[in-house]
Amino acid sequence: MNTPVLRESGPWLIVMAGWGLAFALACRLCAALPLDNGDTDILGRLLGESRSVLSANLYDEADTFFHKGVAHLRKRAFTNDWIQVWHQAVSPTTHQHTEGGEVAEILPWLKLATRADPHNVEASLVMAFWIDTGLRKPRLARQVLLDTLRENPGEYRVSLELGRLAIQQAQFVEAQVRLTAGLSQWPSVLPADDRQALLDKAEMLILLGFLAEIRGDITGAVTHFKNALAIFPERSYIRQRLGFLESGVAPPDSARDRLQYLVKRTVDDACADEDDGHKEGRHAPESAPARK
Amino acid sequence: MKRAGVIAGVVWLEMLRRKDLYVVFILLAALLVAMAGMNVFGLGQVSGYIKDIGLFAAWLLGWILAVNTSVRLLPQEESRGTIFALLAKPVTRLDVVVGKWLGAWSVICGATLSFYLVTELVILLRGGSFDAATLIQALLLHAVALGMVTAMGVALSTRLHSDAAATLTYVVTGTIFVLLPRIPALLVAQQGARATALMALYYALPHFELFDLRQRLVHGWGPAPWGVFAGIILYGLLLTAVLVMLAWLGYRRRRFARGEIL
Repeated sequence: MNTPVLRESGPWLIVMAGWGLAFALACRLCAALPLDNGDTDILGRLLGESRSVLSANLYDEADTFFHKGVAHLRKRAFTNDWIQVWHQAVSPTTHQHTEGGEVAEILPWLKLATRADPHNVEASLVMAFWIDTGLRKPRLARQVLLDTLRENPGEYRVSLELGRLAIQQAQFVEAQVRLTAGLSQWPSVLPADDRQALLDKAEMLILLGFLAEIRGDITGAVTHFKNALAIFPERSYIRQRLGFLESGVAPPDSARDRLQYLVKRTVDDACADEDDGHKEGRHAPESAPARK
Repeated sequence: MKRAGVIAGVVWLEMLRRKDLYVVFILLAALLVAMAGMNVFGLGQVSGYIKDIGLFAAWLLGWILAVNTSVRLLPQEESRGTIFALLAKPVTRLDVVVGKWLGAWSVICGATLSFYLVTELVILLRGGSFDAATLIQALLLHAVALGMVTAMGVALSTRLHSDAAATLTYVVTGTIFVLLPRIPALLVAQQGARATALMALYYALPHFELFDLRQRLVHGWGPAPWGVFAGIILYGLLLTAVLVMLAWLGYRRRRFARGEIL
């Protein structure tokens, strides 16, 4: 045997054998291990669980843009030393909201937030709201919601939002389908006793009640209104309407008008609701209006 | 001071030769172009997020460059043994310290200016712009903040080797950026010795948040009051002078033994 040849090619043979072994092991492991859960996009693989933190930060940035760079106020032990005074002088501090075309400035942050974490449903809902009411592009808002629903199939909040959007467009059949789906998905990830979840359920029931009225299904409407009253018995308007329906008297305002009123939301609503939040001392980002 | 200027000039030549600046500049340009290319529902005129990301990148890259450059200048002279040739010339230790700091600071300021220019260029291409007066204020305050970071790096590198000085400068400046503006809020829930310690930190360390005009610039709030602006500049220059002085105090009696270094 030629020793110099062996000495020359030996390391190469070892490298090739090692690589072959690693390749065989990889093939075996791939066959033995279960497939991943479908979270296969690059960001998901790179960031792992930290993507939700990144997404939350990007969502906060959208909130900062909504407030034109003004940070949320925190309680401070002192505010009158020269450092604080100078800092307030150089930082934007007046409470303001973006207006008109400036609303579009928050959308890139929301898009980045949803890209970072497609399961950040809150960011998607807020984005859809601003596209619909701020930019007046309901079709685009619907597309955003459908994409969100594809990523989060069991989320009732997306179905509710799609239902509202369909009612705005007077597409009552689609609204019926979406809201019924939403009701079956409720409460999704939220606890069943969560106040917002209960408000949403009552809203879905009330919207479904009015949709049933439009179809002429008075029995169905009565059932939905009764279920809504079981959650919030103090809703006097629904109680009054239920009375009209049960006694066979036509209510004074049409179900169509009432539905349009219920789903109508404007940028001013968002700002007014946000201001109320500040008065109540809420500091969490609130870039979309609370539901009626 | 003329001799310090000559030393600063050598720092410039060295930095240009090292190519770090070009890499960082290309990185920033690539990031901004990628961001500008993002299609946000066909909203071509939206530029706020590019302003925000561009300025954030300018601060982040400026900080990294300031720390990495400032901490290696003096230890490098020692490890190469060129400190003996330098000190054999008619220069004082103060000249060396000031020259190194001035060189590092001016290079970083030049790099930061180019970061702002490339951000402005990308924003102009998107149909946006910065308010000129606010931009000048923001740039000047940023430059003074970088002067403090650079001086801190030089001061720490007089007694530590470059890696340790870099780590310590990153930790101290990072903590200042993050913690110091939150101390008034943290003090709401603190009492006793902990509150006193926080107060001592609050007044002893430089307040970088005063030098950050990004929100004014991005959201079009216009320039800050000029009186306050001048006060902050003065505060920054004073702290920089103190840190450079500390660097000189740490370096003036430093002994170099050829056998230990080479």
